[in-house]
Amino acid sequence: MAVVKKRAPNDIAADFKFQSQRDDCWSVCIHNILKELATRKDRPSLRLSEARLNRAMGYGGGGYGALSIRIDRVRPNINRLIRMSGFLLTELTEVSLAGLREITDNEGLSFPIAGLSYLFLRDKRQAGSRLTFEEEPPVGIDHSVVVLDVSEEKVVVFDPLERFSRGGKGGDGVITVSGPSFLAYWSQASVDRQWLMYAAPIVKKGVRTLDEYKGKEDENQN
Amino acid sequence: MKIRIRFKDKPEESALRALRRSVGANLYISETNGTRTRGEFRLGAHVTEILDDAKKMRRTVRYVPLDNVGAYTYSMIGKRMVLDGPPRRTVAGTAASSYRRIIQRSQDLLLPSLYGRLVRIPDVRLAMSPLRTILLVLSRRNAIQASMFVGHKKPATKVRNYFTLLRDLDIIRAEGDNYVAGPKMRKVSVDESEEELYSRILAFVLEQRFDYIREVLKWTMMVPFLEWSNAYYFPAYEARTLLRWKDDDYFGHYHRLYSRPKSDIEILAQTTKVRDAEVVFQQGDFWVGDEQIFEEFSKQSDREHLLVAA
Repeated sequence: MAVVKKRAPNDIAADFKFQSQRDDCWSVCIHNILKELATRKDRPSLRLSEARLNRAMGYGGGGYGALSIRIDRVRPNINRLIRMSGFLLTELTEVSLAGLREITDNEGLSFPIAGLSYLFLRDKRQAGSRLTFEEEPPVGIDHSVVVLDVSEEKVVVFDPLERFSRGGKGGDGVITVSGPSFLAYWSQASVDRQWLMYAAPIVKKGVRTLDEYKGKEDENQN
Repeated sequence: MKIRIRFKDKPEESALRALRRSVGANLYISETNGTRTRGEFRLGAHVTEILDDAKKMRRTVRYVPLDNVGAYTYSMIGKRMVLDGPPRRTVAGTAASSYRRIIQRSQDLLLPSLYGRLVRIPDVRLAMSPLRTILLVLSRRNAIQASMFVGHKKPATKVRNYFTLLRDLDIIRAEGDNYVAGPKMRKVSVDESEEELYSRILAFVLEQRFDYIREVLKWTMMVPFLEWSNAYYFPAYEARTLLRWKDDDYFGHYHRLYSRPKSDIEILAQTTKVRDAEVVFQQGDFWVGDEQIFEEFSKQSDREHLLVAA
């Protein structure tokens, strides 16, 4: 089986979805990283519709969706849906920039999602992006982005809030943030410091994943 | 629901972090009452709204604060804290009611700008025709009795309700066994065009007795009309500009505000009525609003502080 590698940031983001009408940045990011992984690893069962993801995450609970998701239930609920694909979502906190780079570059994993502080949105407002904030973004509202490329100088992310998804206008959501700025936003997130989430293959002791098994077979044939 | 946490410093921040994890990610502490070791956090929730114009490259983001969605008591011993309060379901319910109140207030504030257009809806005109008949007969005969209007298709209870409403609004008044013109009758001269007459009666009724017409007279056809009107003008007010929307945008906002699934046929029927009444317009693929309605509604909503923390 040919190994499909992670593509260049702009190329990947072309298939990504954007937020539509509410604060479902995290759900949209999960949808995007799983979709990309599903294509690259040829695991269609990793594809989850936004509606299914939203239900699993608890968006819209209580009518009108005035109360957002319960954070500590997100990973277990989604993992129940994707376990059959051989992958699970993993969360890490207090990760270094080097650690983030390692995960982003690892071909065996999905792209990671990072949680940024409200300062990221506030600075977007000041920088005169295509977003208009009717008020200052509230302190403590974290925002999720997909990390596509990392170096000490700059971090390339996909921001699902950047433009409207269906219009086909505006940018492609790919934003380059300087390394120091990214680290500042990432380390000041209100829920967890330097948090990230990504999908990784399930590894059980003494059990080979299908990919590993296939690799072994290939080796034997060679 | 009890949440136990350990904290290093800044106990309030640690408490909020725990509440966001276990209750809702968009919570904030709106008020703290008590001492350093014991007291209560009053919680609010920010509702994020993304408001797009399908023809512009910009998007507007608004955070609507709901200041009181629940309260958690706290008690601290050393570096441990116990939070005790309602479960997520209860907080979600309170947040939903708070947000629903804003939407309902918006709908109420929008009403006065829609009177003239409401009567353009055929269902509404039909529902109002008995009122016009009563007023027409009264203008010819100077005194009438409710029993004159009871018939095969108009049972006595229904007729009594029409008279109750007209009397309640001082359009007619009781004089012995008869009804005669009331002080407000002058304002609804029956010689005016049908549209003008209905519009004036409706203005009175909607302004002052909307619940009565919905609950007792059961003119429920107005409810979806108002909701679809509000589903356009409330987001437009939040974005501070008339917006251009494709079908998906408009229907999406309706669903977001009213959380009500509707069949495609219902959506088509109801949005067509709103369009025919010239509350919203279709320009090519886009839905757009009316400048005058928007201006009136915005002024009224600003005056009434529609979006100040609920």
